[in-house]
Amino acid sequence: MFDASYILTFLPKLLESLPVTLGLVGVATAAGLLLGLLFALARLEKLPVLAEASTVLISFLRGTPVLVQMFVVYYGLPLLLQGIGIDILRWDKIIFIYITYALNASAYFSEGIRAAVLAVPARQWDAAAACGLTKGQSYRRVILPQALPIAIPSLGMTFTGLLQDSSLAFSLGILDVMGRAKTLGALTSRALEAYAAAAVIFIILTLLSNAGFHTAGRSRKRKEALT
Amino acid sequence: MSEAVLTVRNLHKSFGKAEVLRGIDLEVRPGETVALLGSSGCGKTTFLRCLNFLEKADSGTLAIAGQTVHLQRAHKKDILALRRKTAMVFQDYGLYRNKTVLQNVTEGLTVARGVPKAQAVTRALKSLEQVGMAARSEAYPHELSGGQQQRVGIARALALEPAVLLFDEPTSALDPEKVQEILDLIRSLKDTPTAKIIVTHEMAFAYECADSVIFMDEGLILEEGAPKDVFGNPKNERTRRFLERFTADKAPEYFI
Ligand SMILES: Nc1ncnc2c1ncn2[C@@H]1O[C@H](COP(=O)(O)OP(=O)(O)OP(=O)(O)O)[C@@H](O)[C@H]1O
Ligand SMILES: [Mg+2]
Repeated sequence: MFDASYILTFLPKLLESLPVTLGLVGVATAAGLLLGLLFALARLEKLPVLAEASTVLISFLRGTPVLVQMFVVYYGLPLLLQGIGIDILRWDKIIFIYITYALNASAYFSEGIRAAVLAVPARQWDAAAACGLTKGQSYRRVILPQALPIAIPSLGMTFTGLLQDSSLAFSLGILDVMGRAKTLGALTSRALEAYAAAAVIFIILTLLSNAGFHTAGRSRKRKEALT
Repeated sequence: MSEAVLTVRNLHKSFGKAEVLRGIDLEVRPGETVALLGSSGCGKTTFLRCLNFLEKADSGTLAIAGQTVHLQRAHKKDILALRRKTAMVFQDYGLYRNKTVLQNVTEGLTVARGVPKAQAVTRALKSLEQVGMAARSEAYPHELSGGQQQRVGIARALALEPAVLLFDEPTSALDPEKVQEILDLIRSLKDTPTAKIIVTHEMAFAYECADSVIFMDEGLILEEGAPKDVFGNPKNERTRRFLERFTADKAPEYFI
């Protein structure tokens, strides 16, 4: 039956795949934040076409399962790009995974950033403009620095979600922590213990991430007393 | 009499269907202090905000320090250039919450005016000195009282050395005992070359400090003149009634 000692033997093996999971989450977070910021700005500034395009894309990304998005990107994107003469069929699978998770996270990041920017009092815009700052300077130097601490809890939630969702990458055969757990389980006929070991890793990652965002949010807020 | 540093001609502004400013004309000379009076909702704030383009007026012309724009078709570049000839002090101070007192003052200098950092700091400290806040230059806004924040707000505006300085009810959010302090500070700026337009409900202050008083009502300037004329002998019936409300309960000695 269930033998907890296997968890201990599996853990080191699964940890070997931790870099894949962390790499996936890291790339998706970095690219997702950048994309999310762009989507948020397009909507906040009501940029023609871009604002509408962002809205549609965001509601698609938030309204469909990440697994569906993964298959759309993996099978659909090459076809789409082939149509305009770009061949990406031979790209490594992991690239498609990166793109999927970056897009998926960008939708949630963008909503968090947008809400945080809207939460900065209008007077801060007035003050920046009255001092002669341009729109871009106002964003960079006054608004976004104030929006960041407001956004941190929501960004943290997206990040944690991403961590969990990354475990679906094994569906395309990626050997992340989850993919590794699956193969180990099949190999040893100890699937339950393998998944339990994976669960331990994900729980620890989630706790660490929560703690990190919590302290980041608190220290920034205390320094500037933005609430 | 020197030439006007600020000229407004036939300025109109509507919010949706409501026409809030219905053709404002105004000239202000360098160094002049203008007190803008009027009952709540008559358009004082909107007018001030049209002068630095925080609101976009619908029509009219605006000239500040030699630069004229038609408000109907003001371009981004013109707006920025005109704005940089002005500064504004807000009722609720509006200090950048993510910046220290010193950074609040240097920000506009370094970022908008291109003043080198060291020079900006010198200028900022001089302004902070002037308002008595140099000792708190490393504090964040939330660590300061309302009166202190408003001092910084004034220092931030002064450091920009604007041609026109706009005050929107600079003392309305303050405790009564701090009001006089800030009014005294504004009074001390009287002999600077900056033109000052001050929206205020402090009638005694308007009377003794302003060179000229404007009474606005329902989006129009109804009366304009030296304080002793506007207060002592208002020509318009509405002005008279507005001023009576203040004189009835305060009965300042200057009307006797
Ligand atoms: N952004 C806005 N959108 C719609 N209506 C507005 C807006 N700002 C001001 N108004 C309206 O314009 C009119 C003039 O407002 P304004 O704030 O200029 O008055 P005010 O003279 O400054 O009043 P107070 O003494 O209360 O500050 C009011 O009727 C107000 O409701
Ligand atoms: Mg007002």
